[in-house]
Amino acid sequence: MKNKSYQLGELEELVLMIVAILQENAYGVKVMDEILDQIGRKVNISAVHTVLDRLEKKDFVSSYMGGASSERGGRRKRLFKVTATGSKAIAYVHQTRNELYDKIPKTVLGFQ
Amino acid sequence: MRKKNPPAWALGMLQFFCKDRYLEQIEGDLLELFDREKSVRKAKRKFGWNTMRFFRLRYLKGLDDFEQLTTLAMIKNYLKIAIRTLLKQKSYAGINIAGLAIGIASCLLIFMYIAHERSYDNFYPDVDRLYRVGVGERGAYSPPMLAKTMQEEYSQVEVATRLSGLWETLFKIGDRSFMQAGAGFGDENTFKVFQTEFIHGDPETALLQPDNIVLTESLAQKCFPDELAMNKTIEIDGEVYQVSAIVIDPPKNTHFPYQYIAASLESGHNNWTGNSGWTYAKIQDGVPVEEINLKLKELYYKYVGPEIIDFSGHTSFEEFMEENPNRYYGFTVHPVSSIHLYMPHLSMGPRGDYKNVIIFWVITLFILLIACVNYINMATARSAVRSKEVGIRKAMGSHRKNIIVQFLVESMVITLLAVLIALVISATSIDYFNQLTGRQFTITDLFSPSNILSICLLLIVVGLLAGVYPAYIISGFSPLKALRGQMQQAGKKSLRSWLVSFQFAISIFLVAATVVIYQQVTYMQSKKLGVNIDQTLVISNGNELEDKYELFKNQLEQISGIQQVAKMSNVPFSFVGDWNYTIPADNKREVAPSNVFTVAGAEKVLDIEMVSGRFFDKDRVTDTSAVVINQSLAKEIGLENPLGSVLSRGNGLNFTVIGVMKDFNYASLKREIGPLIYRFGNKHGEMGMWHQRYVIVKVNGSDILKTIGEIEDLWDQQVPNYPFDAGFLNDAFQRQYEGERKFGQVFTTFSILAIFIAFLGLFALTTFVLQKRVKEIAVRKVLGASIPSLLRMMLKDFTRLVFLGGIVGIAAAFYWLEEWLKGYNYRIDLSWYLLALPVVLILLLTWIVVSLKSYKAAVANPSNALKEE
Repeated sequence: MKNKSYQLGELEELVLMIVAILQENAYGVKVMDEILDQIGRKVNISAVHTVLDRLEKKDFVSSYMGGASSERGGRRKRLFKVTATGSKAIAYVHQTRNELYDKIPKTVLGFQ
Repeated sequence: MRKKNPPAWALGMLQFFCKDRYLEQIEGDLLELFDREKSVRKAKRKFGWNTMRFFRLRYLKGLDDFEQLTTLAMIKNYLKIAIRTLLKQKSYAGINIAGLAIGIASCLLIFMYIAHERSYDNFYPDVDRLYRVGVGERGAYSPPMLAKTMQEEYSQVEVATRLSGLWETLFKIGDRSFMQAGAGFGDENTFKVFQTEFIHGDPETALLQPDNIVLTESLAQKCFPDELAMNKTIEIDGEVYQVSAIVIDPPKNTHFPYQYIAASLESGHNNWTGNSGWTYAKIQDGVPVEEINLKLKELYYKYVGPEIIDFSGHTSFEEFMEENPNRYYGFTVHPVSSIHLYMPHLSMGPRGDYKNVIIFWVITLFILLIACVNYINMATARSAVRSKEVGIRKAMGSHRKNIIVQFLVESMVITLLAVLIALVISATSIDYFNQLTGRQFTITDLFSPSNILSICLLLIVVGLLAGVYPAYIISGFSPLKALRGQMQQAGKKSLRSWLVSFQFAISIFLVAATVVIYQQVTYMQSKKLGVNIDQTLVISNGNELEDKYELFKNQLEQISGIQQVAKMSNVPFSFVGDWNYTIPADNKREVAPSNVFTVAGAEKVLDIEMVSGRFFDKDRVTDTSAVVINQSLAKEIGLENPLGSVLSRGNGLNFTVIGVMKDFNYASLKREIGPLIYRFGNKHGEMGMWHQRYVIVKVNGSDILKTIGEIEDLWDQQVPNYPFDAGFLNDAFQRQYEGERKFGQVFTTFSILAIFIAFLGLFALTTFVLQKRVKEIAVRKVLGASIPSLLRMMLKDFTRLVFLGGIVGIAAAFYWLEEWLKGYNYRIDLSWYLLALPVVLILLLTWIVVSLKSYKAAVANPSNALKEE
């Protein structure tokens, strides 16, 4: 199955997976921290927001405002979760990557 | 409570630019990151940085975020209504647009002119460090030694150069020869001060050799079409030069529009008193003008002082200064960028005048104001027509603010149309404008970036200026009254009257100024000078005749139409240098008359009247040491009978006064007649061959053109290698007042424009007043009023306004013209009728316009007006 709408940018793919990992607890700072923890990459908070916004426009994630707390100066969080389309996209990406990986001759990868 | 607070500016900025939809989550994340950071300073820095990173298109507020969507729709509606109103009242809109267009067009041209005048010489790198050095406070010329000496003795002078120009010289290339203007002679530092772009050659060495010449690109093309001009030779006035460099043409806006610079010939002149060239210097950054002047004063005392007393015979320079206290002893520097507007007498190119710039600017502003007044008057006068519309808008929930915006949109639409027409007007009248200002503007100058900016600025300013008051008044209408059908007249009638009389005042001022300027020009042109300059032909370059002058003269006198021939070093109305003489009999007191060399016969050509003594006599050998002076110099000498008194040039050069001439005007009538001395001219005198620079000829035949043709033939026989150049003295006299004539032309143009716009407005206003009073007129007529009495009634109001405006306009005109005429030594007196004339003119025009409109209403059948109710 080849579907164009599953096309994702590299950072988009990463953020989408992180959101999936975090399960309903994903919001800007958290996603940023998780990227740093999981793969040690520093991303600016504004970039994370932009990517999340873009994913939402593409319908891969959905969002809702969380409850207010005294932290964050009383500001509410916008929480993200993966939609059905998002799950399919992750599966699709994973599958295509695996297929491609399998087609690479073993010698190129440097181990027998 | 929070322990630390994020920078308020960053939060404020975020709230300002960020869409509300995203604001909370972004703020929240930013604050969370902020709280997490231990170091407050680092946290603040990061907070600011992160905030700025959110400055992305996706988060920026768009049009729809500012107000409700309805605003956009309303503005569309305003535009639609504005265009409909405009089309409904075509004649009013036309009058408004025409007036504003003319006003804006004049503004555009004047803005371009002012920008150009202010831009002179600013293209030179380091222009703020370039200075012109002159003698005394305003002197243009300076001693030959000054440039080198100041550079050597004064370390803050980076480089100084000595120049002379700009002359017209004879070019000879192969077998071609022509006169070439724009000739400058300069030393090797010329292009270090006036840095320019070299196409060929090296700025360092371009003028090192005495036969070097640097051509501009266009002159190189003219001299050597289609070949490289480098290293070619050119003969200039008999000297051979070799082209050492080619530079780009200097731009239009320079006081030094040279075509070529040749290496200076004058290196031999090592004196400090013969002021004969220009000195320019580049001074190091940050040295104040006063300090330079002070330093230069020391140079003056050190070098010029001794030479002066050498010749005057005083024991010390201090003693000399004490006896002649009315002079500034020293050199002064003037910034090169201020030469064009503030020191135009130092310019070698087009001359400006900051006063003219201000006057033009003020007058254009007036014209624009007249046009705005038209708009205000018509908009408020016709506001009753719009009152229902305003009433309904208000009833539907419009705020006053919205109605103000609506009427501003309307005035902006009108202004925009006016600007578009103004662009066409200014583009088509650019030739006439060039003729008025004596500059060469092209259409590209009109659309320069700065002018486009001023176009946008004008659009906003004029739109607001014209629209704010009517919008404010109209928006104040009571909706209740409007909808009940009560007509509401916006604005006070008295304000409209004031504005109209303001228009009259400006028109009257401009007409008065025009009349007086032309009177003054006519007066100067027809003034009795004391000499007869009619039919006097002046042949230039007489020095080229050399010893053949006598032969030439004899040949000329054979021609039947020629009565008398003489030669002079300077003719009237051309520049004459002041030379210093001392009076040995009067304790060596110094006088500085204008110094001219001439010979017997000049008194007959010019009809000079002698008060006492005699003019030169060619048969008396002793006349070589005789001088003739004018009454003004005789008065300075102070003797009752100056005949026989001796004037000395120092070094044993003594001259005896043999005659006193009646004073005559030999320079501009702006100045009074100064002291003048006529010396006997021959080639052994102090000026060499230049004593016969001009040959003056009284031509009296019936066929002057034929006579001039014969003279030219004779010249070509005697001086085959130099072109014949002659002109009438009367033309030179008239040319002196070219500036005044142009000034008069400017005023004529502006007066016509002002009157045109003002009367357009008056016409519209009369129409409107009549519409409102049509029933009143009908009732009066029914009750027995005659047509003349009705006309009188209509005229009465406007007549009062003309007189009111007249008082202000005339008072302003009187004040300003009195000031202007102070610049002229020979001037007309401002008489009451000169100033009453404009009032009468404007009054007549007003009566004509108002009567034409009113007559129709007055003769109309009153039943037509009364039958409808």
